[in-house]
Amino acid sequence: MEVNRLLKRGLCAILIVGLLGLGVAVGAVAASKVNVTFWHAMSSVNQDTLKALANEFMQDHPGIQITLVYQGGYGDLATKLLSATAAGNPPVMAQMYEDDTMKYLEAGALLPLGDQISSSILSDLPQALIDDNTFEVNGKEVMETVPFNKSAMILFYNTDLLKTPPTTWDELLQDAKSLTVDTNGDGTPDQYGFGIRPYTEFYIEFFHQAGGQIFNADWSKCTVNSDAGIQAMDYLLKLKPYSLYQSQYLSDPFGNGKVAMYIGSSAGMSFVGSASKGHHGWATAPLPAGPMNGGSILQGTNIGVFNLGTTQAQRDAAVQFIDFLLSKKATLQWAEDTGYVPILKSDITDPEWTNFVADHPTYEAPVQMMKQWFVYPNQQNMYNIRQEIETAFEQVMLGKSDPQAALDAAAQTIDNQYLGS
Amino acid sequence: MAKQPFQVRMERYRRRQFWRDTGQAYLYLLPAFVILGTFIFYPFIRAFFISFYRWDFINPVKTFVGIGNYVTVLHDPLFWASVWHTVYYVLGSVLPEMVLALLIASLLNTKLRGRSFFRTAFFLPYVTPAVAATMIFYWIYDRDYGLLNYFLTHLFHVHLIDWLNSPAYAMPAVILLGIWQFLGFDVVIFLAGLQGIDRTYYEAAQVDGASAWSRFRRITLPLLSPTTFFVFIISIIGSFKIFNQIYVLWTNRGGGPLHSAMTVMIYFYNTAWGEYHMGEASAVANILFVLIFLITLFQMWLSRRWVFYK
Repeated sequence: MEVNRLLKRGLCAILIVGLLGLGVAVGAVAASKVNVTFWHAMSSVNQDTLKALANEFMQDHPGIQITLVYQGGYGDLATKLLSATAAGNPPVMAQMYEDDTMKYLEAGALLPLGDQISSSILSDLPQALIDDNTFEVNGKEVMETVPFNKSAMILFYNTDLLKTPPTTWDELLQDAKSLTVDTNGDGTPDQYGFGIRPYTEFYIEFFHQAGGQIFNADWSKCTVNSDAGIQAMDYLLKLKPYSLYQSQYLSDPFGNGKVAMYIGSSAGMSFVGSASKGHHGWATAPLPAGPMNGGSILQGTNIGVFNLGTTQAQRDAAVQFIDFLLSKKATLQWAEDTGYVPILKSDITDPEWTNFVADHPTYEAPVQMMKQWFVYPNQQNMYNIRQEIETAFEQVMLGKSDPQAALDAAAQTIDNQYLGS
Repeated sequence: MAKQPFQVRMERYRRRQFWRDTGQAYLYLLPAFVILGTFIFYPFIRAFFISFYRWDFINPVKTFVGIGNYVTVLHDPLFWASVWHTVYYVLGSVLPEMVLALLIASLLNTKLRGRSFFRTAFFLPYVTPAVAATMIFYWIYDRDYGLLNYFLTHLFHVHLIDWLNSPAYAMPAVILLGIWQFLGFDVVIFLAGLQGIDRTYYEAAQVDGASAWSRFRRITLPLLSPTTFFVFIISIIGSFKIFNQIYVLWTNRGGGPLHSAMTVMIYFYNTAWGEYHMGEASAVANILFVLIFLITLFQMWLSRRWVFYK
C-alpha cells in the first residue's frame, strides 16, 4: 500500500517535471526565433502559393518564423486589421488597400518601407506602382507600402464565337452587337455579346480611356462630369442592350456561353478557366482602346509593416521577407502560379517569363496592360467618392437618370462633402 | 417602550437572513450581469456618448460636435431612404408572416396526420444559420438558373424576374427570405398559445350552433390576443434590425441595386465600417433605438384596447 502510493506520487512528479521541461524547451526554441505574423486575404491557389513562398524563405532563414494568418475577404481583413491597430496590437505585416493605408498612417502605425527595401528592388519597380504606394505624410511624399498582388483589367473573349478580339471601342460595340443572339425568339437574348457589372472600377476604366480625370490638378474640384464622363456614359449606354447586366461576377455566365466577352481583372483568370472548361475555348486580350488611350486601372493590394506593438527584430525580419517576396525569383513564381502580374520591370524581359507566356498565352494581355497602368488618386475620402461615382453609374445604367444629371449630382456631392477637408 | 431581548434577537436574525438570501440571489445573478454588462450595457452607454463626437476609430483624438452627427444623419437622403426601406420590409414581412403563421398553427392544432413532422419542417428554417440559408437563396433568386424563376416561368408563364439586380424586386426578394426564415418561430409561439385555450369554450360554442369562422373570431382571436401581442412586438423589433441576409446577398455593402435594399442597419454598417464615421454610426444606432422604443410604446398603449387577458 505504502509503496503503491509512493509510486503514484513519484510518477506524478516525474510527469509534471517532464511536461514543464518540455514546455520550457519548446518556449525557448520558439522564443529564439523571430515571429513575423502576416495577415492576408489569399484563398485557395493563391494561399497555397503564399505558403510555399513562406516555407522557402524560412528554409533559408532558420531564425525567422513567418506565421501566415488567413483573415477572409479583403473587407473582413481590413476591419480586423483596423480593430487590431486601434487596440495597439496589429500583426507585423499585412495586405492593405490604399484606403486602409491612409487610416493606419493617421495612427502613425506604419514603417515607411521605401527606405527599408533594397535599392535594387526599388529601382526595378515601375513608376505607377511606386506612385500607388506613396502617400502624403506631414506635407512630404513618402513611400509607405510595397506592391504585392497586382492585376490589370483585360478583355476575356470566347474563341469559339470570336476569332479576333476588338481593339477599339467601335469594334467592341460592333462585335457585341453581332454576338447578341435571341435563339428562341422570346425577346430576351440567350447569348449576350458583352457583360456589364456595375462597379466603380469598370466605369472608371472607360472614363479614363476617354481622357477623364476624377479631380483637377490640385484636388480641389471633382471633374467626373467633364465631357469625358458624358462620353464614357453614352458609350456604355450604347453597349448596354447587348450586355448581360448583373452585380454578380461574370466568369460563370462567360463560362457557360451566356456572355461572349467581358472586361474583368486578370486575377479572375483561373475562375474563367474552370468555368469555361469543357464548354468552349477562351483567350485574353488587351482592353479595347478608347478615344484617348487604352489604359487599365491597377487593382490588387500592397503590403505594409507595422511599427506599432512590434519589436525592431520583428520589423527587420519582415523587411527581409519582403525583400524575398519582391525578388525576381519569388515575383515570377507568384505571377506564374496565381495569375497576378509580375511586378518588377526586369521580370517582363526575363527568359523564364517569356518562355512561360509562350506556353500560357493568356498571361500576355495583363502584362501588356501594365505599360498603361493608372491608379486612383490617394485622396482621404476615396471610399465615399467611389461610392458616389458608382451610384451615378448605376442610375444611368438602370435608366433612372441621364448621364449629365447623374454626373453633375455626383460631382456636386463630392465637392461639397468630400473635398477640401 | 423598551424592546424585549427576544424581539431584538428575532429582528437581527430576520435582517441577517434577509441579506443572506438576497446576497445569494445577487451572487447567482452576478455572472449573467457581468456578461450582459460587458457586452450589452457598457457598449450601449459608450455608443451613446460616442455619438456626440467625430471619431474615425483609429485616431485617439475625438472632436466634440454636440448634436452635429444627428444633424448630418437626419439630413442625409440616403438615411431616410434606408428608413423607408426598413418600414417597407417590416410591413411587408411581419403582416403576411403573422397571418400565415396563425393559419399554419391552426392547422397544426388539429388532429392532422404527421403533425410533428410538419411542426419540425416549419421550424427548421428558423434554426438554419442565416448566412448558409441566404447563400442558397442567392442561387434560388438567380435570374437564368434559379429555382424560383424556373417555377414562375413554367407554372405561371411569367417573364424572367431579375430578383437580385433590379431595384424593384430586390426588397421583395429580401421580404420573401425573411418570411421563410422567421415563420417557424411565429408558428411555434402561436401553436403554444392555441393549445392554451380551454376546449370547453369551443364545445360550448358548438352547442350553441356557432360556425367555424364565428368560433375563430369570437373565441380563438380574443383568447389568443396576449400571444398575438407578443409575436407582434417581437417580430417588429426583430425585423427593424434585419441585416445578415441583405449583407450576404449583396456583399459590396451597398444594400443592393441602387441601394434599394439598404435598411437602417446596412446604412449603419456602411457608415461605421465603410466610411469609418464612428460618431455618425452611433447616432444612427441611437436613432434606431429611439424609433423602435417609440413604436413599442405605441404598441403597448394600443394593446390596452385589443389584448384580452383572462
